[in-house]
Amino acid sequence: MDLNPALQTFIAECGELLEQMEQSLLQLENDSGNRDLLDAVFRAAHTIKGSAGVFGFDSIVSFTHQVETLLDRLRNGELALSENLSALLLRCGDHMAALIGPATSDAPAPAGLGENDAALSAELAVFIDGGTPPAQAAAAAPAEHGNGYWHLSLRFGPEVLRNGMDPLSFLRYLSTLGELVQITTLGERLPALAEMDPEACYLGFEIDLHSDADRASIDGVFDFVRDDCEIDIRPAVDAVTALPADEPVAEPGFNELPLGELLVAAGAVSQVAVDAALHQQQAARQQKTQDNRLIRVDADKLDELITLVGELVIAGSGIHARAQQSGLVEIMESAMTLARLVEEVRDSALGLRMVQIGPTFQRFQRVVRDVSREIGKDIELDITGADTELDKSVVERIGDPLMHLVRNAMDHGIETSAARRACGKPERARVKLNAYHDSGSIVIEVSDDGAGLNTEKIRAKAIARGLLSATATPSAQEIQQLIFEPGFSTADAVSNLSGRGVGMDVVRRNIETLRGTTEIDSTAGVGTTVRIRLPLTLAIIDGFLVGLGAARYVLPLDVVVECMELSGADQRAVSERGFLNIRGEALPVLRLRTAFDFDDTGSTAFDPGETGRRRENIVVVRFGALKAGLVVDELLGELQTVIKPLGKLFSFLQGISGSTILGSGDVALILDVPGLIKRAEAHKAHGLSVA
Amino acid sequence: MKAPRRKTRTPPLRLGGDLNIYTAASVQQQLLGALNGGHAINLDLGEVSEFDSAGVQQLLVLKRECDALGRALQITALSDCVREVLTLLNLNDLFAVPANAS
Repeated sequence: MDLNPALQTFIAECGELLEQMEQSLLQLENDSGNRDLLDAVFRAAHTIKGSAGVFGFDSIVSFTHQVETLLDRLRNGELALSENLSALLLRCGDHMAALIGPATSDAPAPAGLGENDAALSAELAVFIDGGTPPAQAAAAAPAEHGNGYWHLSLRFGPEVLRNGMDPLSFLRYLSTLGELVQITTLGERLPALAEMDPEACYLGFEIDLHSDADRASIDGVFDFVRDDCEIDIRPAVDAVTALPADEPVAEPGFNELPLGELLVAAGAVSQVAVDAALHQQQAARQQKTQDNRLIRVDADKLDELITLVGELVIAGSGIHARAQQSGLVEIMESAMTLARLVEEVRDSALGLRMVQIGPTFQRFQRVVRDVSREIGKDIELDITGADTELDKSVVERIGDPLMHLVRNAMDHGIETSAARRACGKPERARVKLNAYHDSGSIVIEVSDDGAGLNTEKIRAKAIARGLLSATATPSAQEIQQLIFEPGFSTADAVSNLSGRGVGMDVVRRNIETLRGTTEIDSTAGVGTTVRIRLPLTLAIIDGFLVGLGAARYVLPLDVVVECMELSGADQRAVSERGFLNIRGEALPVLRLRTAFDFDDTGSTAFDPGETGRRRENIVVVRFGALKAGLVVDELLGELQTVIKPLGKLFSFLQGISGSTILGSGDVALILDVPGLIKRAEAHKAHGLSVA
Repeated sequence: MKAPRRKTRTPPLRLGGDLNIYTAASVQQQLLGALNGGHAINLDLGEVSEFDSAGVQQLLVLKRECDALGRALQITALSDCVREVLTLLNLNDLFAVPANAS
């Protein structure tokens, strides 16, 4: 009697449905006449009510029923969707979400839930009673369609009761869809009392239903029991209800002969009608198979798979290395094939975890709507790149930082309506969320068309806080980045939302734990854009292996632009100036030996000034708009890399972002390219000022 | 509340509390006992507080076996929840449910 799996599905589905409902309601605010949206809201509420009914969550059913009644009146055009009504429905959605928790667990209901329920019910009642009485409306509706007769044959499987479901719940719910004209309870599968398994289900029902619902909604009643129940839903004609009620059951061989043929034989319907009904059934089935193409998978199982694939990648590169050492052509060929397959397995395994960022973005529609009302600004949210995919674990952790940024943009970035009018901007402000892929990273932008950052103010504040020396002359860009420093806020008035100086540095820290970076780009009077750059995945990357003496380092392959050998003249340029002229471009260069304090004394004559020099190579890497060269000893080629995070002990290490295990069993460190590029830039600035 | 008993020759079998999947096994034993008792069976369901499909099945089987043995089965009292289910399933006539016994 384990209810859990079904209950989990219920909770997950309700979450999704409530989200859908909210989305549609928000869209309706701008597109109030849209019938499809209204239908979508209604369907969501209806499905939640139905599923809750199946589980016997009366609190959810009774509340949702009122919401549904109201929505039905909207659909029938008896009420118009006003701003108040829409706000009420949104709050009802929140309340339904709040009800699900206490109903589905043993946790006590939070205080005030009951009062909230009563208050919302009262508000709903005002709207519901505002038009014609609901009873009349209900009576009027069925008259629109004449032919809503259905015949349902249900044979519940033995496990239904043990799975925590009660066939009665389905019948009760079915009765909310329409009128149960006739129910025949079938007990002929019941064994003798002495032999009966008291917990098995033997029941079957033949039901005549009069309902305006379509087949899908009737079928939907049985979603939770589909695997355990034979369900047959056929459109019936009025004639069927005129037949003696028990005849279909009593008739021997009724189950062998399709109802359609039976009816044709009896002259009740024409062959054409039966064909049409069958065709309709076929279409419904096709729809069903499409629905089934999506499956829910426990996230832990996916994580386990990724871990295993990671081990497989390491083992695979071990084989690859040994094969090359062996020099046996056949073995090398097999190893190559294996490596290719492992790569494909890795890509599809990682692909399983990729989800679109759209739903995360969509959640902000509500935030922007609510906050803009709260602070009295007219703001709309503009979403682009919603289909950009990124790792599920990243999506889960990006919500909070984005919330900070969006609220910040609304509160600080965007001016008051009066100020906007004064400088000739459209009164309605825009906050924009955008996502796209860029050289192995995903970029998420939060922009607003507000006043932009006041660099003078930031500078003054930074000096006051000791973050900047009074004589320093940083660029505007550099000043702007200062708002990510801890304890920095430029808001004159601390508002309810933000401005307490605990925003941007938290955002940056959160992003950094995801191995991402943040940058800000602002133009006074035009707007501000915060750009978050995140790695596509946190688990496995294509790497580029380089050597420094005996040590091995891995660079993410996506950041590598080109590699070349360093000539003697170039070597001198690097050590003297810290940058290199590559095709007329000044490229900041970092010698990894110097950066990592390699002890050169024991090595064979490293002297950039002499001719008997060590061969060195340069790897040009790019991150965002920045490029830099990294000087290394050896280039060792591509490999698949499973990223193992470094322990806390090593968190202070600069320039290293993780470790990995090579095929040979050796450990290689993964280079933190953004960090290194920053150091190279600093180096170059220094070199330029000296030169 | 005590169910009214009229003209019942054998003491009614009173099933109180829940009549559902959780109690189905013990109810089954009680019913088997009653069936083996050899008398007409009077069921007092006046104090049943929960009644589900598992309970319905027990009653259906009992009815069938009683009919086969030519034994009378009478429901002398039933609670609201039992009445609701029997009405929903259209089984009132089968059990000759008294119109307003409670």
